[in-house]
Amino acid sequence: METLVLYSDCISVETSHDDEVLAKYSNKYNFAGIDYTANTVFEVLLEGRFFRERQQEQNESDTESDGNAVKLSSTTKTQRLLEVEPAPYYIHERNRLILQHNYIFIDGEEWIKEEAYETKDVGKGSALASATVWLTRKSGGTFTNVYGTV
Amino acid sequence: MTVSSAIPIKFYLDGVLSFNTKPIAQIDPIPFFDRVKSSQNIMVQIQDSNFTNYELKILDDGVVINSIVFTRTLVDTVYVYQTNFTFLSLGISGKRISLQVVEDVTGISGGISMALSTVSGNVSFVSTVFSINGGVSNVAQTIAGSGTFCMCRNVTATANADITDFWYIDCIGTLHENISILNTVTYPFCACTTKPNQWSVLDVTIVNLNTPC
Repeated sequence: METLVLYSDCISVETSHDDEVLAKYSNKYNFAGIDYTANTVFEVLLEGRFFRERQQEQNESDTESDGNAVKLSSTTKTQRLLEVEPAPYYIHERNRLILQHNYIFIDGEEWIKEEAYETKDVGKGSALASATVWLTRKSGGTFTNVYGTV
Repeated sequence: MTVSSAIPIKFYLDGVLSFNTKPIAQIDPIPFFDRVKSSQNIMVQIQDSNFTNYELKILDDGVVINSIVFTRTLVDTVYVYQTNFTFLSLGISGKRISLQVVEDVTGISGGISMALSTVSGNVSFVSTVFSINGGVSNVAQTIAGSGTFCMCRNVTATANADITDFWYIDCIGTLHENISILNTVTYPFCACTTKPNQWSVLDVTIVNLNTPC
């Protein structure tokens, strides 16, 4: 009888952890080797924070033939910073894949990743790195006003 | 046995993609403990193209403190084994643990499709005669659950049957492999196992299934 044993990483099981961010994620189609045929929603408990917000602005304007500037459109969108505490590289690899999913839910809201997941080494003597990524609120966080066209 | 990414089995805990590529030994010399809340919903998914059995073992400092047997929930081009639990329901909190998935690649390609009692002790087959891989049917057995599974029966080989891949676990847990059963001879036996989906009976016709254990 041949037996194959797969090992997990070490896991700390507690009633609650400090600085915990519970992220739920799923995908429309099978992704990253995970079968989503049954519309499974997975969960991951990240060690970090998710509360700093910013409003990103995009403004578009042009100059008419008479030299006057004309504003074409203006967009604001709400983003929140996910800060991940120092972790090994494979945890960040996992996090990147998780944030590439179609559906990401944190704090009861849906988010999309439009910007890079960036890691920063803790120090030369450590194998750990911290990470940050701005996530965009999917619904109700983006407003666009179109003023006109040239 | 260590695990590498070449193994065609995906093991995810809450979508932890590194599980099939990062054995514990690689974490040395600085152990890193990923986090799980005891009340958090845990979903484990395993994919394999073989019809095999899987058992999730929960270890505290190397000692198994609980285990869960996987049952197949989806059948497509690949087999997907998925289970759902919380550590709170298993009475585990305030511990630093690790998990193991044990794949039992015994090559089960047939089995018993009849209903089997999940109560330790007597037999509960709904039919007294059926055959598997004996030219009549080739069906996979679908016993699920936990606890001790027992069955008692007489086994009679069908004529011209090639019975070389027959095995069972007896009542004291001893595995009997490569049993050779001669044609037309009846073999009574009692078999019990704590692992569902592990019965394998090939090329035999089973009769007198209601014999008590």
